[in-house]
Amino acid sequence: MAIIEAIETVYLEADAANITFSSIAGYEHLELIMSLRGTRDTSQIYTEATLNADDGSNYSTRRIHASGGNLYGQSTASDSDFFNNYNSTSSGVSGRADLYSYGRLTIYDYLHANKNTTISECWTTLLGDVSYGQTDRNIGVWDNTAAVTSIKLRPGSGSYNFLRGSTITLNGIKSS
Amino acid sequence: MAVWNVVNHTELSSGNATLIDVTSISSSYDHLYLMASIRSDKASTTRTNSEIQFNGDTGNNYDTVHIYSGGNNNTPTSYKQNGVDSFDDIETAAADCLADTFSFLEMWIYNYSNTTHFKQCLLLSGTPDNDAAEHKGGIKVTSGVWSSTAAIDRIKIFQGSDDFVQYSNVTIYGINGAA
Repeated sequence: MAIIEAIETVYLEADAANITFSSIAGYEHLELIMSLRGTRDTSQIYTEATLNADDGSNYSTRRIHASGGNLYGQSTASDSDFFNNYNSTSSGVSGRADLYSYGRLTIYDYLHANKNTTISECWTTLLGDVSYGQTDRNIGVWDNTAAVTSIKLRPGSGSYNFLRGSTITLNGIKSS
Repeated sequence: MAVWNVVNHTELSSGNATLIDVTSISSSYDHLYLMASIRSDKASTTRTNSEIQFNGDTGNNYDTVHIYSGGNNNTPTSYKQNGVDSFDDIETAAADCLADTFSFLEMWIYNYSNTTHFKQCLLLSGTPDNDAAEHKGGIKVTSGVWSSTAAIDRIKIFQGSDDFVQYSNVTIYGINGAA
């Protein structure tokens, strides 16, 4: 029996308002490998995440951020999702159409009844005409000890969609 | 042959200063990988440090370089620790951190059974918190080397003077390449 198993891969055949995984039980940790692009015409979008369809003010995120010559730490608390406006995601008709942003998100001990769910993520993207890009090291906590039963990825910054061709694979990691 | 294999999984049923002290680790894998979820009972702080030693070596044979950020809109800093007696400064949630919140640790130990090279490691650790204020949480990316050519057959994760709380856990994976 494999220790790491691919639970589900979503490949968008059409633009989608969100990507949700809901058959996720049976592992110690989860990992999402994301390749995403948004439909916004004018600028980038942001990729946000929620757990168990909770839109309450229960998420906190912290990051190390590098973009161009900028390097700084940043944190945000009591949000309605992970990442807020941290995960800049390729989009826009003025930039290169072949740019998809990449992220690797780990969700630790997601079934544990005595722990809030903590996450970490590496996120990287080039934007626009590729003259500008960002790299982030993110961590976060969902202030809830409930077992995680669903994960939703959604675009921030308004009513935009993930673009056709975006792909996410959800892996489960066992401990026995 | 499976690529990923569980070498050890430990979850504390009660508080203890040592999370694991695993011995007789097989040399049959290419690399080792650790995933841990840890919290300390250290009072009056949101964050503290955990340590790792190999093969029971308490000598000053560990060197690390850290990238660290612990604040809001601050500039991340880097610092090094040369010739110390463990891989130190692993992010660990403590008593004043948000209740029920545990830090994470991921650690790669490359070519751990090679007997001609020193042992290079990559550690990713973090303490999330619901207080965005300076130093209430922390992110760390660490490169480390253990200056020994001995094959690693023992890993100890511990705190100097405080305990890991109940439910702290760690899994050690053995990673294989192609046969």
